[in-house]
Amino acid sequence: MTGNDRLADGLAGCLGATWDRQVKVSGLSTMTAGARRHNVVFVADDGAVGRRLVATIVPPGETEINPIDVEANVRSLAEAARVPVPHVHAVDPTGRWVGAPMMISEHVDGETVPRRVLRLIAEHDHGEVVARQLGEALARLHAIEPAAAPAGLQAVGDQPPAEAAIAALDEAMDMLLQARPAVALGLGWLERNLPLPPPRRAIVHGDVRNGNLIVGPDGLRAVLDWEGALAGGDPMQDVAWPALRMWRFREDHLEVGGFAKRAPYVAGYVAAGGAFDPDRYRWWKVQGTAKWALGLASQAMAFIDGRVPSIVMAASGRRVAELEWDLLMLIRR
Amino acid sequence: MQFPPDAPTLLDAIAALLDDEVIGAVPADLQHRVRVAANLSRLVARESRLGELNARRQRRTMLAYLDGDVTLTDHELAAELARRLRHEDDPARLDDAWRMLVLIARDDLAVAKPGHDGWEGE
Repeated sequence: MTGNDRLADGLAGCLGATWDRQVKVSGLSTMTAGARRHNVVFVADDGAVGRRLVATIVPPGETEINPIDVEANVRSLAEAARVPVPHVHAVDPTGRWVGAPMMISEHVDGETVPRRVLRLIAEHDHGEVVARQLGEALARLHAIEPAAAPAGLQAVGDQPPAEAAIAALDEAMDMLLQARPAVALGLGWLERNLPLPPPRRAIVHGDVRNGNLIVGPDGLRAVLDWEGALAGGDPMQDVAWPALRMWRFREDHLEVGGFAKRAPYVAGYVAAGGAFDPDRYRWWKVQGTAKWALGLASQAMAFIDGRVPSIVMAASGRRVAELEWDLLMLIRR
Repeated sequence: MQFPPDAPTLLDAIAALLDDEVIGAVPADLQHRVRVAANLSRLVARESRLGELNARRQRRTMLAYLDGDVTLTDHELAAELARRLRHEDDPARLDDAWRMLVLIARDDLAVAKPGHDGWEGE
């Protein structure tokens, strides 16, 4: 029996137990995967209908930000609030079926690779449509009653989100192998320009950006990768993140994901009930840029200390300078 | 002394091999890593050409800003600078620091990603 056969058996077993009927699994193939998780697309046939599904598998030993069942719950909550997400069919946080925690969800056709997303959008000339839909999706997420957050979802706590974010960045700075004065200047700016707490806290996705979207000829089809979702966050954290230069993929003049200017995105957010605050938006852009600089540094450290022996992680250390430049441009007076 | 080609030229040759011949010959799930390896080879080639000059210039700049101790290593200087900038609140010193860090970032980007400093917008 090959590894793929064992995986197919495990997926069929999990779906069979969830759906309470016999399921046959075939056509397994690995999708373009994130750095940390494996995504396997396959067909599940229960005798009545064949569905294309995706198994998201957390490799053994991988640290989960939220456990995968909590991630599945927050995604289902978002789906109920009309945020476009791939529907979750089954979850196994125990590793019983395939030897590692996993979630099985609907396969949604479309582009996810950022440059292909940009080519598709250019071909269909619908960047403003996608930006507006993205704004709407975020507003719907942020409108969810905070008390509805799934049990176990990571949360900001009692501290105001911006102050908690600065504390987390200071902690990350202290862990660096090499001090970064530009990031220190950025942290000082964040402290001097600390915004008022948001009027209403929300469940935030934490990593909405070009690269975590499925886009088709008709526009935005799904928001992916909910593992970093957070309760009690500032909605502007989510609104600012897709607008970082890092996610524009050389289309620097198009602030939102390299495919649209800010106006249609904010219009979509406001039209769907979101309250846009330009000052907090800017603050979270600075915070996000500093955070990603430190994130890249931490990826490089994971290579250096042998935790993740990947050349992609090694290369991250040489990308810190890009974020430092972006940070300096954002905070200039 | 080694016979030519020099180290950066060899690294450029490795990058060209990876980009032009290896990427097309490996499975799809390996191609991204090969592309990263090619980029790194080019980056290290630039670093071996510019790194020493940049490091000397950055050291002079940091020493001037800090009026610092010349016996400190480059890493110690950067740590001292980071420590002070984290809590600096004098507007003139902050402006000076910003200008200095822009120069340092330009040096770093000349190695890590030439052209990234061409964008100065939001």
